[in-house]
Amino acid sequence: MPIDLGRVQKEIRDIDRDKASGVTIEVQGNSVQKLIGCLKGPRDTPFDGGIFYVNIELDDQYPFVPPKMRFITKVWHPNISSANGAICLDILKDQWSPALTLKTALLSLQALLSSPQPDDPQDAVVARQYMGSLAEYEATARQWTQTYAHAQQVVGLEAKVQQIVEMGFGREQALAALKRANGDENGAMEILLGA
Amino acid sequence: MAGSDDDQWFDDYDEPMSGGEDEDAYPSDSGAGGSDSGGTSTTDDAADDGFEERGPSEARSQLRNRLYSVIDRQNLRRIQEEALQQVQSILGCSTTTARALLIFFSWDAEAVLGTIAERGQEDVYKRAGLLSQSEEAEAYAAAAAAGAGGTVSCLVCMSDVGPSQATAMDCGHMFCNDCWREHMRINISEGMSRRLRCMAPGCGVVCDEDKVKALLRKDKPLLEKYEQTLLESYVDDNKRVKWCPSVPHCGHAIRSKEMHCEVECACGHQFCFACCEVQHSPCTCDMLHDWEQRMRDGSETSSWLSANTKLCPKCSKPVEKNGGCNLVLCRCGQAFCWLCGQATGRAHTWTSIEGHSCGAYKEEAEARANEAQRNLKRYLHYLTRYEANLQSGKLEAKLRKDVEAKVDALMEVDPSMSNFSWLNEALAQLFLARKCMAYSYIFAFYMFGQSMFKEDFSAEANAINQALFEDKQGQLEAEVEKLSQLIENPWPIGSAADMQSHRMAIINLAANIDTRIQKMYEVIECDITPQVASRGVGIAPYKGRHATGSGGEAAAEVYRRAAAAGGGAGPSGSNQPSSDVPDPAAEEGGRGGRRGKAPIAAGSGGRSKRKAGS
Repeated sequence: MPIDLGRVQKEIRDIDRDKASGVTIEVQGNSVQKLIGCLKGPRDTPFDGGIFYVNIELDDQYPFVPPKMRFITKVWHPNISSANGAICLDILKDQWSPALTLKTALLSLQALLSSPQPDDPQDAVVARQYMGSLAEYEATARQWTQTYAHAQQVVGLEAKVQQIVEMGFGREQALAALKRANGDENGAMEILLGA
Repeated sequence: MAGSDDDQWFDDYDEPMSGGEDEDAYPSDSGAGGSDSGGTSTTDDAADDGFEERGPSEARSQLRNRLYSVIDRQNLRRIQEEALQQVQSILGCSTTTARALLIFFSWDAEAVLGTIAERGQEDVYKRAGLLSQSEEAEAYAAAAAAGAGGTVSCLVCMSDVGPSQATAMDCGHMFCNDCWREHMRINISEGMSRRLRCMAPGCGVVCDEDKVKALLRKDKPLLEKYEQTLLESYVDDNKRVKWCPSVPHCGHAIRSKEMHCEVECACGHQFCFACCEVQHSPCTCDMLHDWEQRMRDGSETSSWLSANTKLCPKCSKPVEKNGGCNLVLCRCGQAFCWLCGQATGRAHTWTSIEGHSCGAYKEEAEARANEAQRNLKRYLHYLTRYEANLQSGKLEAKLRKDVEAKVDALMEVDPSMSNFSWLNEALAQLFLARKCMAYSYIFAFYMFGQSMFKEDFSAEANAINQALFEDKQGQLEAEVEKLSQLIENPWPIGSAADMQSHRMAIINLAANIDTRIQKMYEVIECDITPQVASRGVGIAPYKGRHATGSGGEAAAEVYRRAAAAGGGAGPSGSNQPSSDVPDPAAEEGGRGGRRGKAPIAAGSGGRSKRKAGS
């Protein structure tokens, strides 16, 4: 059975309507099965002020199987891989329920940013730092937020995306390449031309 | 008459294929004759558990040491229903509930009832997914039903449907039928039939079987798959029952009381119950697994598997990590850590896997790299010996042929020689000893290698253990080589006296070898494994050749031939017994021969019996 388009579109509309939630979602290209989610770093955490992008892929069987989510923006967090953005969150795995939505999943990610679970780390290095020296962890996380997720960075990023798009690349392609190159325009171009 | 204990062993040995014409082929437990050995199995376990033992012959299934029994397709359903009824009759619950409880407790009905008595019904029901864990279930249902004009709003497809097109599970969560069906279709086709749960977040209540069947009634193949998986759950979710790994699959399952036990299915396939591989005592399953991995190194499939999968600590199937974090959930329901492969327990989620750390591996791996050279040499040493013994075992067929030729020649010279059970015993013992020797080298490779058991022994203790073991192994090897020579070298066929002493030498050596193997196992079981008991080293015990060994069958064939020839058909040995028309003369001759050989054979038979029973 192909993906339930009606439901996904309803979900997207619902997120768009609820401006207060702090999460947004955007379709990548023509298919609703590839999306980019966006969430604000929670207040009173090292992620405050950051804007975090999440790559979302929906399987044909969605919502009966969980959406595949991965942070595009680099994050320093025990449950998120600092290398590839992989997320360790139970509702994205065996605790997923078809009655959950992309919005609830994104909100759960936001909640995960506020309350790390270092006992089951995705990134052992971060977890060790979190357990050993909280202050150091918070400093690193804040610095990463500043470097990779800060609003100004993101605004700057938008300009770079536009530049690359003008060179004839797709928007999502440009965004992904820029994320991989940590915002470096030349690096992103190299990635795009190399690929 | 011939129902004495000693005869029991010969009967099994001599006439496994006699088709049950002869009463003696059915030894009884009591030794009081064959009267109670008719249609039904009379072993205690079988009676208790309601399992029937089936096998090519009743005699053989009796000999299965009563540690395990064979379940076939027909009685699988019956056995499962008995277990369900046992739980249902005591708890007064539905079949769905009983099944969910039994699956949760790996089909251990006593554990179900015991835990309920101990911790209370509610707690157990909750853990087994029978009570909703989301407390707003009722409110949820009410909200769903509150759609305008009596419609139900399904929170999965987010559309409104009429009440007749929606179903609520026992927990009260209501969704539309199409969504339920899709949810079930995906889960059933992924092999999750026995864990069909409610779709509401955090609920986890098992879907009622009748409701599932009603929803799926139009999709026959899916419904069948659902029912089949539920049926097979008795084997799949049961630690004490395993499918026979024969290819093509014979449809049988084995139920064993002991995890580490070498079993033989009704189809004749012999395997290790714990790992379903070839029988490999005295080395452990881990050792065999690692060993075979080494031997297969270079094969592309295995290198992909070793690079990309980990074996589930519960069901030992390779699991591929398809994304996400290092807490991996196997299809069998076992959660484990991807880094170290250790089980972390089902209840664990990302919120509660406390205390699980596994950083020690890398340092150890580096230290090991320095020893690679030494290890390779050591490995080759054991590999050569392992292969040599396995190779000799593989030459069984040839040896058997040679021995048949000798038997023919001997009977031509001396037609009075009609009983060759001593020879069968010796051959079977030889083949069994070869197999034992082969695997004992794997055992030694790992046990004394200071890698797999590095933390368990000091270097001194290890040296002592190794010396003890190698002493016993060496003695066994010497005897095995001697016996091998005696059987293979030309026999003194011309002289009756010489032949007699040759025969005695073979009989004695075979008996010696049996004792040597036991001594070797004594060292393993009494001296070595107790030191690593905390590691749960499981080694199937030595049962003597009566309980195991294809050698037994191979030799039995030689004997049948000889018995038939000697008993009635003249000295040429060319007259084969017909399988469908048993020749009474031949059987009579065989039995007469058994009585005739009394002193020596009875002695050795008695000894074998003791071992086999131990």
